[in-house]
Amino acid sequence: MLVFDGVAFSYGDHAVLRGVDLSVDAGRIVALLGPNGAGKTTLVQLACGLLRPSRGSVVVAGRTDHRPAARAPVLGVAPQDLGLYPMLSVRENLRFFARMRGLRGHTLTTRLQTVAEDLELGHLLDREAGRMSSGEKRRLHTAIALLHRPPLLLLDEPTVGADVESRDRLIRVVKELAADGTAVLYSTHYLAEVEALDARVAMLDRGRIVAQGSVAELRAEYAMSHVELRFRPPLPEVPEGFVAEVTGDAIRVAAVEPGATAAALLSELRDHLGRLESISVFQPSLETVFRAVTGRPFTAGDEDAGGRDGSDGAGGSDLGDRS
Amino acid sequence: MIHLRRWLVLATHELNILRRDPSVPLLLLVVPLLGTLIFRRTFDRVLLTLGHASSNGSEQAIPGMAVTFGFFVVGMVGMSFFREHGIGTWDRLRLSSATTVDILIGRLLPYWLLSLAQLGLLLVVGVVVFGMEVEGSWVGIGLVTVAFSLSLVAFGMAGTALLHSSQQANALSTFGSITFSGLAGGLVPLATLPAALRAIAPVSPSYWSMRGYRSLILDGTGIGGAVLPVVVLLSFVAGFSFLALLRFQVSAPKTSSWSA
Repeated sequence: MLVFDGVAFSYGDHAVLRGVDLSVDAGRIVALLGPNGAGKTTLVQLACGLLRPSRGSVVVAGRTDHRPAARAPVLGVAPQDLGLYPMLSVRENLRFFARMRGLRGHTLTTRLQTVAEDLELGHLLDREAGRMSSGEKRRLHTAIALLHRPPLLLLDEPTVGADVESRDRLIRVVKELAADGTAVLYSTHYLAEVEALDARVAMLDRGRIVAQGSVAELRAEYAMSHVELRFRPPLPEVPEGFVAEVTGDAIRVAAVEPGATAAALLSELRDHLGRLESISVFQPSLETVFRAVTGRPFTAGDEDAGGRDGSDGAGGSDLGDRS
Repeated sequence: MIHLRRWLVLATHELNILRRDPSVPLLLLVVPLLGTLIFRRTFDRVLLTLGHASSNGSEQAIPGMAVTFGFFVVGMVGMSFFREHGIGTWDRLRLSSATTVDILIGRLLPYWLLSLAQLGLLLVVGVVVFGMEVEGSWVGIGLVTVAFSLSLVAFGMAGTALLHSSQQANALSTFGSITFSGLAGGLVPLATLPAALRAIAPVSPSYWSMRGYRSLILDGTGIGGAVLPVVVLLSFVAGFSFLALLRFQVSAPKTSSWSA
């Protein structure tokens, strides 16, 4: 549905994208992950036709026609910055953009109601958009992109400024759309969202895709899981054959398959289980993967990446997410 | 290609936004009518000294106020584009199925209609309420009104293409309104202006509309009195449109005090 083939883009001398190869198929969510300044928004704008690549090509639904109006019928876009009429009601905003997409009559009314309900805007239809909370505005902003049931959806940082409820709702809707066959390119710098979306990940850093794959694939390729056992003193010795780190009252063992490793450890340490206080499995976070791939923390050039979720951002543990 | 339905969607949408702004009728109708009330008696005496014995002053005041406050449409055109940038809907419009031409036509059409309505209403109120006597051709007045309103919208589009912020559009609107109207004889009869100012007056569309109105309303000329002003005003339309097409960049960044 969407293919970037060796796409490069520069603003003057400043190269923003340096040869991006990426594709988004029908029914798939590709999470474009990278810190601010990585080139995510530029990539989305190239997909829309708002920008033209300086090298390479962008193919949308099999066509290379770069004019925004030519791509519009198959494209639903929620740009990073809010785009709505604050002086008009939610209904008027949706109606106007639906009419601009050629919807009218019963189809328009039905789509407006459906989209409003999907994004929990049904009770807000007569409210002036400018008087809504930032999360509600963000939902309206996204709803506008869904009105004409586009087969390709581009969401550029769709949850910036949104509350937790709005974010969860949006993620649920995006997953439903993908399940119905929509191709989704979801740009974000919130690592937790990528995991929640269960998306295929394309890590963008300094204008290049540095890693691609499912979350599980990236974890397996770039970072190890850990199994941690905590005991009341005295701490037992680490069984032979395990690479472990001992700290205070805990034994931490690196594991490719943490379930099997945990089972093996418990078996080996069965004589000490009376003193076992806890057992935890730590999956490496995407931050850890990003660091492994780029050699830099994910927060480079990004002031608020860690603001939403401590486990994934600047304050995140190198160990990752406890499960 | 003609996308009439899309143009109408855009135009009605813009009118829907405009009708919520109380400053629009205030600026385009209420203030010029108040101005007419204030200046009519003064103009009555001035016109008497200029040989228009049967006038009551509204023959100068109404077209003068119409030309002065009609110019604010220029700023409104610019503001409407800058507003779209400020609230983030410009790119959204570009990402709809509308072409750039659709967006421009759909955006300019309501302001042309607004300008026509404003000028028309002021002239009608001038006759009905203030007893303005029209000695010449009403058809000629209609032609001048249509040509002047077109020149205002084209001026607004050229300004949008050249300017970068809503503040600049606002300044152009205010400066142009007072300056061009003053030069055109909209604020005081042209004959009372210094010769040097009268010499440069024809550079503005306001001058040619005032010249047309004066000829048709005060001097009682037939439709022939509208020909030269209309031709010159349409030349302004062509010039401004050419400038707008030459300089307008659909992706040019614009700043605005609006936000979503």
